[in-house]
Amino acid sequence: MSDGTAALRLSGLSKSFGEKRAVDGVSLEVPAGSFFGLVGLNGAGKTTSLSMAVGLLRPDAGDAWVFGVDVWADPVRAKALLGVLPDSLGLPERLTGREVLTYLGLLRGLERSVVDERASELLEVLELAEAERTLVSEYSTGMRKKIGLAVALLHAPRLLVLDEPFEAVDPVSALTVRRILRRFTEGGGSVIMSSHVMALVEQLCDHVAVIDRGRVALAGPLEMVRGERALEDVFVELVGGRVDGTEGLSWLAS
Amino acid sequence: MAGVLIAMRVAVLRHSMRGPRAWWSVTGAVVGLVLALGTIWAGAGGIGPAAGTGTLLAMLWGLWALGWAIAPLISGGGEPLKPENFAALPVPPGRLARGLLAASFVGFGAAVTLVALLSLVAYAVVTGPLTLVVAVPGVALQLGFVVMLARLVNAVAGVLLRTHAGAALVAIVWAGSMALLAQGWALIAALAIAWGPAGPELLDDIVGLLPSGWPVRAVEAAGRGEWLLAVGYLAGTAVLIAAMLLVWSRMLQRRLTSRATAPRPRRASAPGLGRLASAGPVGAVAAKELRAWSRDLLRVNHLWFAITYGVVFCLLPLMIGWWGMAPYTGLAILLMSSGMAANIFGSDGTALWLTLLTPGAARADVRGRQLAWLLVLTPIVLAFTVGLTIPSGQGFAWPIVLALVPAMLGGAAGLASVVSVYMLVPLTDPHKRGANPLGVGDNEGSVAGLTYVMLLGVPVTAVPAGAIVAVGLVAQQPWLSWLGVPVGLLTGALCAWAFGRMAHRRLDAYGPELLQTMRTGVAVTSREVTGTDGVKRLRADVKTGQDLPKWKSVTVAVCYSTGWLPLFPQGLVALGFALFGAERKSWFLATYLGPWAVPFAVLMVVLGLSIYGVGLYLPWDERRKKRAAEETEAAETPTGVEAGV
Repeated sequence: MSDGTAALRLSGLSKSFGEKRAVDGVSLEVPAGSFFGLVGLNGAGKTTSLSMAVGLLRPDAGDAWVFGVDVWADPVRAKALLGVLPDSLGLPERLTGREVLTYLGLLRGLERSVVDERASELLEVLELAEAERTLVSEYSTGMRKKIGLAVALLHAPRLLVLDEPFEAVDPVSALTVRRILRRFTEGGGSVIMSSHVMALVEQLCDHVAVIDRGRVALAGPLEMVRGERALEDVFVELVGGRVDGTEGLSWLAS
Repeated sequence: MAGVLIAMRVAVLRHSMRGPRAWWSVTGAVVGLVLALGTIWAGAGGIGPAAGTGTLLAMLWGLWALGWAIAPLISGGGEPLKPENFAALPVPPGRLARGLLAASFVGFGAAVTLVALLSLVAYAVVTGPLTLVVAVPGVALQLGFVVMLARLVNAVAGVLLRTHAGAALVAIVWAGSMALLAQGWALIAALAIAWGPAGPELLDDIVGLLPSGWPVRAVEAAGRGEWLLAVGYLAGTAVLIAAMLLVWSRMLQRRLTSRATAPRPRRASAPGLGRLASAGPVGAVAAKELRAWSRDLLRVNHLWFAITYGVVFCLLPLMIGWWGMAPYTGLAILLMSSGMAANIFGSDGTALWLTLLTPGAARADVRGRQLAWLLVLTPIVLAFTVGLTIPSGQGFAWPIVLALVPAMLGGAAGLASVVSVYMLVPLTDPHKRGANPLGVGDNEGSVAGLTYVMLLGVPVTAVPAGAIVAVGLVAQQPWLSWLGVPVGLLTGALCAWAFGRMAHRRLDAYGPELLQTMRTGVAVTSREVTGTDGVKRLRADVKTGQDLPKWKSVTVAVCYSTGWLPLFPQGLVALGFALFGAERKSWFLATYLGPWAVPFAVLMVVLGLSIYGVGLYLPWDERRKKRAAEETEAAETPTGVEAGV
């Protein structure tokens, strides 16, 4: 079915938390060089799927491969290829942004001079240079996202896995991030990102998958998935069309 | 307001009564209850001469109040309801403060304390039934006082912990109090010498002057018929509580309307750190950790706590001119700080994902943390050891301390890494903690448990070195005692290396489980499964503890926390008393039973073992059933079905 050169391949990933089946047999293929969008409602299983895909959450069943390397059987090789921005996980709070980048680069075995150069460039591009002497614990939510993105990019990975990269990021920085990601894919890199912003996914991504209640509802090239319509309409129709907001809440206007 | 907050507190308490947390809570409550019953017994005049009952009771009440004052240290701020969560409510701060205070009365601590405070009722019955009129409100006021005290101390500590000096000050006060509790005999002996025959009266004056003793004084005054004085004592307590509440609500308002900012870090130009960081991945982690040691005020607080505790504990006997413990101050500091290094991954929270996603970083992470801890502690421990052994004049102590220091430094560095990984206790992520720097979540009971593991375990790692020194000292062979020093160096290095290896291998293999534990707050397990391709993989396992049905998990918690009562005091200890003919009747039931003492004690041992047996059987049985169910399911449904894209 696939030749193993896909940037990311998920096969039958499942995860239950207690009685709740958060992810129920998710299988996906992110072609090399593609920009892949993962959309779904809150709690649909996007973060859980991505966590299992990169080796942060052990699945109950199923497998994940990064460029043909089994994430759970050979994590070291897989992780060398990966750059990850998880959703709302901690960072070393008592370090400045530059220190976070420096130490993580050294941990990955990069040369000191390389780390310094890349850290400076990333901080500059992501407009974090001014906050150079601020501890991460003082960062705003958007700044945390950006420093997380810098961590993901630092070692020049081949696949970026980004969980809600644009959440809480200001419009100017968002534009920067979009340019960075575009350049990354143009240079041969692959990206999979989750988002609830349909317009963004439509603009950036060439492939898309809709996750609903722990399953893949629809997946494929963007043009095929949305056809002649807007992605938002396809999405709403797929996940059950729970859009109203006109009924009830009559007390709100009084 | 108060009603709703109390209901919320009850709901939080109910949800936290599961898994190991329930175990810790119930154990704490049972231990507290035993102490509380002891206090009642003392109040009824069961201990010592009748004339001293009032003094003793006031002193015990002082200890209960002290317990509440240091409770925030042990219970991590004890804020199940964070004030920040109510900041947006249109409620005046005074009302919020009163509501939160009311909610603070919900919990095991307050319930157990209430039982202990009933000792005043017992004392009143002995003093004269009429004094009950004073005793009952006295109990209520005292309960209000201690709960208010804990809130206020917590708030003050929270403010102080925002600065370096404040963090040190809080640690010094707390550690000093705790060391005094442990080593109080030396102080009492010194005071007895200094005060001479006036001692009992002076002690009575002191415990009576403290607010914790006022209700006791009120009952005594009522017993003498001085009703006005009695009412005065009670009114004094009430006024004090009101004043504390006022201060606290002011502090609460400031906390909710200002944002704490961390002091700006000094320019990152320490050349030593830079060189260390460039010396490979281990050096990078060590340099990162050393920065944390100087910037993370909780760590600053812990370090000062260890130093103060060690110094006060070992040097207090100097008050009576005894230098016997002075050479071991460095070791005491080492031991205390090792206890606080035992949850190093847990206290960093979900930042662990960075290590998990960096190939080969697990080893560097463990080794770097070990190195940083040694770099911080070794100079301190050596300075206190050498600096205090010389003036102590205890020449024979040299081989002891020089053998034990390296053995325990290495042992602690190794054991801390293993315990951090194998017994990780999830805490609130640093960036999600409220304005209270101590508010690390509701798992502090378990963190305290880790401290005990270290306090017991680290000395065990030094047994080989210690044994050789001891044999040398007993046999009066100096060469043998001095042989302990190289042995200590060797076992220390070995422990640090081997335990560290265990830790980083575990971290490599089970990193995702640790991360999930920190995300969700509950431990998860996994097991090895051979796939159809012949490759062995770890799979998430059926969960045990937290998935037990409610009644079973409560039963397990009750079993674990009560089994020791029949097994140890009422069983084994009582058996010892009965067999070796101790005559004194005390709260060991068997000592009252004459010829039936031995069979009764044996019965108690059996009962204790059965209780633990039930506690072990229930989760094991549940796990077995679930695994069987899962295997049937797995056999029926083929995995790896792909939905083509």
